[in-house]
Amino acid sequence: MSSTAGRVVRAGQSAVRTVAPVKSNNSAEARMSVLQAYKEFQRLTPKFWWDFGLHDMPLGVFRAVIKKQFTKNGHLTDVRVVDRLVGETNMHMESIRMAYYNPDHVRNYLFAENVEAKPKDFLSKFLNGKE
Amino acid sequence: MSSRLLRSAVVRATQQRTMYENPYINRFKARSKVSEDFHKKTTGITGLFVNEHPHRALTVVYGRILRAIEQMPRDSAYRKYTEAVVKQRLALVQAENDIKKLEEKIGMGQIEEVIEQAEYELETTRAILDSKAWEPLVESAPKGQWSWPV
Amino acid sequence: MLGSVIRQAVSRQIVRNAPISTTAVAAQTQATGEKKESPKKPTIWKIDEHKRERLANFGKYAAECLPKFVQKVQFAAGDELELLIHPSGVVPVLSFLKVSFIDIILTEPINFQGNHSAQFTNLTFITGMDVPTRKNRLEVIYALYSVRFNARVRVRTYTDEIAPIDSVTPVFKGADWYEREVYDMYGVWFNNHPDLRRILTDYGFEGHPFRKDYPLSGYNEVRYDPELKRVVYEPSELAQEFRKFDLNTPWEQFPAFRNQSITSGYETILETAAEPAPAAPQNK
Repeated sequence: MSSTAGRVVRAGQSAVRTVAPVKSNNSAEARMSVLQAYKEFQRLTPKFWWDFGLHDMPLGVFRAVIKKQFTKNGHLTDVRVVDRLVGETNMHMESIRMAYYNPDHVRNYLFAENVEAKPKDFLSKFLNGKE
Repeated sequence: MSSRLLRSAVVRATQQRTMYENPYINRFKARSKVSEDFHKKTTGITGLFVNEHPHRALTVVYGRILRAIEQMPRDSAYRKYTEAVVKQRLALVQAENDIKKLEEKIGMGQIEEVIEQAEYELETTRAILDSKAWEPLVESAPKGQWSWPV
Repeated sequence: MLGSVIRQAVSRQIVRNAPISTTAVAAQTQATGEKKESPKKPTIWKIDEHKRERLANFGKYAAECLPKFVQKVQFAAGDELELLIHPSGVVPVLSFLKVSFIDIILTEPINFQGNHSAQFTNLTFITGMDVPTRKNRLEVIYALYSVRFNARVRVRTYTDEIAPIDSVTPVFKGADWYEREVYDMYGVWFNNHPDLRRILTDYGFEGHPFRKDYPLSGYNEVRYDPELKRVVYEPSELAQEFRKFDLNTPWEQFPAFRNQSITSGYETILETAAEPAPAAPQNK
């Protein structure tokens, strides 16, 4: 029954705030966990790519898409946020491995930013064939 | 020789298991066996099996609790209360040999329940040791945290 | 989830205020000795003062045993004991409540010098609550039930959007799915949880729907695209006429209690504050 109760992290000069770390105690550890998750994801990729029928794109492109998922969060510095994202990535990997996800879920998760935003103004809506 | 082994393996792998060979039932049946001359056959509670030697079990668990609790400071409230109760119970266990009378004296239901409770207590003691719960409050709640309506 | 708790509290408050007149009626009929048909008894939640006092004692005892974590002990809605704790102490507090040999007993003394345990062995539910104006906006609430003593206690703790809370699955196996629910609906992260995934919403769902800032229409909408021959997700879009929500009901539910607070109020039993942090050593 290991717990993180009562671990104290000193923040600033006078303030002592009790912060329960998600997983890592400092940014180096967080970085390592990100790299680990990234490597694991890339190892999973060929099977993932094949099983989910994503071969409408070459594997190399698909690897790059996954890399982009990681690099787009490169600006984050808060260790706890990073840890949490790593935790969520692990959840996604578990779901992919156990085939909880359908190909549609995966496409949504990976390519949501590629979805073309819906036309907002009247004319483009009209040209798009709606309304 | 090898073909026979192979055949038996195939049979084992392919045969249908009847409901009477349910591994869970088998396991529980094995655990719920009670010797002929014991005064009860079951506790009547699901998942709680008859313990025929409660004195031994209780002495062991209470001993563990007392040893764990010794690592806490002497003035901590949890240690004070728990030590008193556990010592009292341990004395009762050592003094009374008859199980039914012991149950009556402890007054917490069947002796198996008392054992289960003592095991939970051991876990609690360890959790409290782990978190050093006797220390003063770590942090007050931020202002307005517990006020409702906000 | 919490809504039902509040509703319960409200209804209790109402019936507690209501019966004064009925008892007066009963006294009148007794005094005159008339054989009237006794007025229909309202269903009243009667607070057992004796049990309430013992619960209060138990709350004080718990606070004494776990001074590091218990910030406040209070009654909600008259007789519902609540322990308000610091988020770092979830596991020790709940495992304490699960057994806790207590000196102050909850029922009549049976045989043995009044030493009993509370045995809150049943985890009724875990839920969350979101109050965006607070510094720690999310609250996690654990409700426990003692089968042996027919007593209930609630443990409340707080967290913000990213700070994690320790999972109580080592103490209560049944906490697993409840914590997944709280994670799904409120986005509270539980450390050491065996399998923390979404449980109620779809795979690949975005956002945490019970947060107050979650838009009513969600973030994504899903439809089948006949050209692509698959399900596509799109940012949700509402027509203008559906955007205006009138959430007020045309009926007034409790006109007699128009001026009363919707919560029956809390009664504080005990409150502790941390000592101010010692001045940090001056090393520049």
